[in-house]
Amino acid sequence: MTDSNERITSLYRHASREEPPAALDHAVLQQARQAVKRRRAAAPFGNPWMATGSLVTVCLVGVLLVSLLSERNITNGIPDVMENEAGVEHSADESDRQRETSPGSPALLKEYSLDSRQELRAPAPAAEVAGRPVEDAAESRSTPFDSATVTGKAAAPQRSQQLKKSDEPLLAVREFHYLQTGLFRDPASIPTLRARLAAAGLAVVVDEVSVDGTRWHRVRVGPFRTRQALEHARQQLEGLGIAYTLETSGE
Amino acid sequence: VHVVVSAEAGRNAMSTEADSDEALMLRYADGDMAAFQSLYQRHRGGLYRYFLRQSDAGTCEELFQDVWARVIQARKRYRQTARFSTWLYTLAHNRLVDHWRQTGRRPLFENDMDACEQMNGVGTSPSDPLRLADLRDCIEQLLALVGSLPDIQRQAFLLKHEAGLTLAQIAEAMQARTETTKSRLRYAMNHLRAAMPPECLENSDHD
Repeated sequence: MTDSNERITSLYRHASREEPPAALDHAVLQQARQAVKRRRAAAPFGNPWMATGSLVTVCLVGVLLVSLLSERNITNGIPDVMENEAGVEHSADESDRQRETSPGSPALLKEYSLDSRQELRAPAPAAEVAGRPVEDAAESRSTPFDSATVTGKAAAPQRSQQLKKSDEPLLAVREFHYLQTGLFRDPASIPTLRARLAAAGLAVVVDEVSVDGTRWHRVRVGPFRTRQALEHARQQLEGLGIAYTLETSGE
Repeated sequence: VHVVVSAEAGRNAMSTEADSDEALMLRYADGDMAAFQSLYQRHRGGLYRYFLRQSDAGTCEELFQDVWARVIQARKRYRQTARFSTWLYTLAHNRLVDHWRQTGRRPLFENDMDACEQMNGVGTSPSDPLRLADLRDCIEQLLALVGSLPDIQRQAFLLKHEAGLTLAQIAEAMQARTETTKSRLRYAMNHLRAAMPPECLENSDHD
């Protein structure tokens, strides 16, 4: 019996040689790399704690500056257009200054995500593009490839007014964010996954990619253009127990 | 740094060395991508085959990616008190059971002896002895038999022979008692031994 067991073990070791295909290796390593890179860069939408910390810091610095420079009346030149933030003019003003020097700051993203449709129609002269996607998930499903990311370099209050009034065309698209939920050689695996995603109300995009000459079917959720939409989808996927990889593709 | 070693070799190298699985995982949690690459190289084959023996190719690829994604996502929560390979295959086991549940398939929590008896006919259909003596055919036969084992016997078998886990670690990964796990392994081997053509067991050329 022992000899037979040893032969079976030996035969199995001899037999069991299959390796994952290169595309799978690539997908896993890319996801691993992306995870640590995301942590370092706080991408794509930033760390909320860092955002909170920087906002508090900016507020404190702002109060200090205002008190020191009050004789120069530095705040008089800034119109009060933060309609919903009447009680926090100083914070808003300083946040805007922060945005001017830090175009990708989470504070800016938060503001822009308030009303994505208006923001997406921002006039180019007042708002040079350099930020993050802004649009809700529902709209992204209907117009998946027309997102725009905006970060203003003009004074933020002026920009806000222009954004809310303008109907000019969308700005150039810079990036799309997707959550990749599967990579399959055999498309037979796709319908089940797609059905689960669709049942959760997630927009699914299936396309084909070629890796080392092998054709793969890629299942992705998205595109997303707001932090809220992306985070919401992430939470949904985690609730469903579906693993994902964040993917960002250029224009 | 790409270090291609078997799971067994990686297992032997662990514990005290700086490049143990556990140390690599902790380094990856601190952002060291090269550590993850080494870790992945050690376990990619075993984990892939663990799923491949228990599902079709498409499902295998899906589950394989899922488990690695969970490792990546949980990297900050990993603690060295848990042996990496045990943790990895616990994730794999749970993911596989989840998959079966989602697809409406119930893992076969069989009375081991009954199941073994029920499956004694598998793989023992009349065949040409000369043909079965061929190594390639023996391999195909063995892989088919492993695939046809009752689920929990197969899992125990694969955790031993693909993941290289000890009896206690298999029990931990499968959330079962050690004695139960021992029985499962024994029944799995009994089944394979009974179902394999004698010619394959007598032929030791493959050693």
